[in-house]
Amino acid sequence: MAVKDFTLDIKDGEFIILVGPSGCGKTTTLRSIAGLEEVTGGEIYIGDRLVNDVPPKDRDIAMVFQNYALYPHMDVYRNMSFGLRLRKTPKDKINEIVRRTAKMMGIGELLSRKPKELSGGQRQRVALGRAIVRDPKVFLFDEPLSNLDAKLRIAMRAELLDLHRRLKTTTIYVTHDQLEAMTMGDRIVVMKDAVIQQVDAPQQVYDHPLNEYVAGFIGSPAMNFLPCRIARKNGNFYASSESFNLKIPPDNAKSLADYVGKSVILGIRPEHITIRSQAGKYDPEMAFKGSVWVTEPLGSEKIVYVKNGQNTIVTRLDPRVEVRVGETAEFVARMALSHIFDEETEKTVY
Amino acid sequence: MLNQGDEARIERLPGEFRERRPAWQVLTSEKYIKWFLVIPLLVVLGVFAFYPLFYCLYMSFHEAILIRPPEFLGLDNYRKILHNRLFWNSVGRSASTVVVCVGIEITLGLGIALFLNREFRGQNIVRGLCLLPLMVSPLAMSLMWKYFLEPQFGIVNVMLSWIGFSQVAFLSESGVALYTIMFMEIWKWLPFSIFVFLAALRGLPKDAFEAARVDGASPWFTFKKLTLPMLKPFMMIVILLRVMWLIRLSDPLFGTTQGGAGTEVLDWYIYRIAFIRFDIGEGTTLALIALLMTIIIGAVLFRQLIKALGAAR
Repeated sequence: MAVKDFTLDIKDGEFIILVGPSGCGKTTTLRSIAGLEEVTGGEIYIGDRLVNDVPPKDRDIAMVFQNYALYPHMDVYRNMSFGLRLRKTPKDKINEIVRRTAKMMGIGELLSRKPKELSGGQRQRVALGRAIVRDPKVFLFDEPLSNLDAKLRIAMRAELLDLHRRLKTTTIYVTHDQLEAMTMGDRIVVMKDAVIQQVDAPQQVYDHPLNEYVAGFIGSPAMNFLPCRIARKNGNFYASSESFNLKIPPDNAKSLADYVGKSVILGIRPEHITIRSQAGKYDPEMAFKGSVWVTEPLGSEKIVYVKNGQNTIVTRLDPRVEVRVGETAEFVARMALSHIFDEETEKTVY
Repeated sequence: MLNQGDEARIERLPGEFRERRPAWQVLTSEKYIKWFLVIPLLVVLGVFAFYPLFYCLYMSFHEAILIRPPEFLGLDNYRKILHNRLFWNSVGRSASTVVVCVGIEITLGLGIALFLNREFRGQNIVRGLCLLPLMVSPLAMSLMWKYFLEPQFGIVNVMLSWIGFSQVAFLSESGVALYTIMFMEIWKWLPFSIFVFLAALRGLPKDAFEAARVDGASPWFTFKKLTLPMLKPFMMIVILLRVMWLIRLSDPLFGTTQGGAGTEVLDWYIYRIAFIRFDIGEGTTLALIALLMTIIIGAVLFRQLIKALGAAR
């Protein structure tokens, strides 16, 4: 995997997330920063120091691996103290640091256990503890939560954030899980095919994706993409197809003049579509008809799949809304929050 | 889980609840078929292992030379052997062969495996060539070395004379011959430990080594603290198997010294007593003593192996 044109300036103490599908180069990037991968072009600085030719051990980084990478034949204490022992730290100092960190990580009682005697979550804590005792300039996390079960993953997510708030160490975190990216990062870096797609704060990426890929990758259920044409009528712009004709608010329409008559992709998030009975006051020109295909009540919300012509549109409704499968209903789109993507370049038009 | 009481209770269920099955199905049900399936093995073991073993035990209490009817001696054979210097000498030679061969095979094998465990051009050819000695038949190997090491026209001595050394009687000078035998044995079996270690190295968790690199461990420190401990179970496997095989060492002697020139190891001693001198009574006694020693050493090493397996995973 070769990563191209990766330029990123990370601020001290920042929590940066590299996110993207598998094979997008995020792990390669992380390993390059760690020094485990050779960099054939470009420069990596940590602080003011160019580290391209600095071996991993002298980069003042600590890395947490997906499979924890604990030393199987050493107990927790020796695992955690490994790096310190290498640095010839005095014994009593090692003892103090390891015990303090173990206590902080809630593994104080496990110091004499071997990794195989620990649960996944405990191993994860040991791996984190081993990174923390080193007190590095940068933490590198390579999908550290992906081997944990769903419940534990959510708990560890919060713990990692809390840890970062307390230690304030610059952190670079790789994940393929957009939810982890959204919830944890100060800024997230969306990558695809070895190229950065967008770098910004999570909410910013969510609200203002730079292209169709980012828009579809961040958010679950994913944004709806509806092929249509831009039409102009009475000074207003419309996203128009055989099965819908939705007015685009004038504020959004400024950049659309060049696209009149052209094919584009309308992107709209599931939560920005409601059923008419819930919509309150609405503009009838921002509504479309559809028949309910599948409903997924999730307790806190109801995901409803709607057939509209060739399209299957996902909507996120209030759980108390009554919809019957097969029923035809009118749905209202909050067009002010929609996006238009260029069909060819896939870039965001607005 | 059913315990035995439960099973008995199920058996006692009224007939109408019990399914009536044809005899064929009953016989092929798991309860019976597993016993049928081990019968061939038990027969083979009985004929070729248990019967000879007990016959050996029987003969070891007798004086039995060639076809004369055996004469009961009690423990005389054992007493005689344990007081026999020749026996203890052969045990000593076997022991030093085991120590030298296993020691060198482990160190050299691991070293070569570490060297081969990297990407290089022609790696498959090199690895394939390394395997060759294992494919040579033992007798052919021993004859091959006999001619290589022949004092007059053997290639080794010829080459030694080119660089000004005098002839060495590798296989007939006592004090040298046993080391020559060890060398032949190591030459043949080194590939075995190389490939066990190579396979083991390939299977080691990569990320633990990367973690060590990031942690700042030097190659030597990594080798000492990670590679070696993680390889310990494999080392124990090589040691266990090679020790057991080396106690029974006799192949390389067939084509070469035939036990002369101070190379009479334990197995050859047994062979000579039992099949050259045809003293079956003493021969079987020796064989039993050797078996007992092998079992004891094997058991000790096996425990170490199990311990190592438990520690490394």
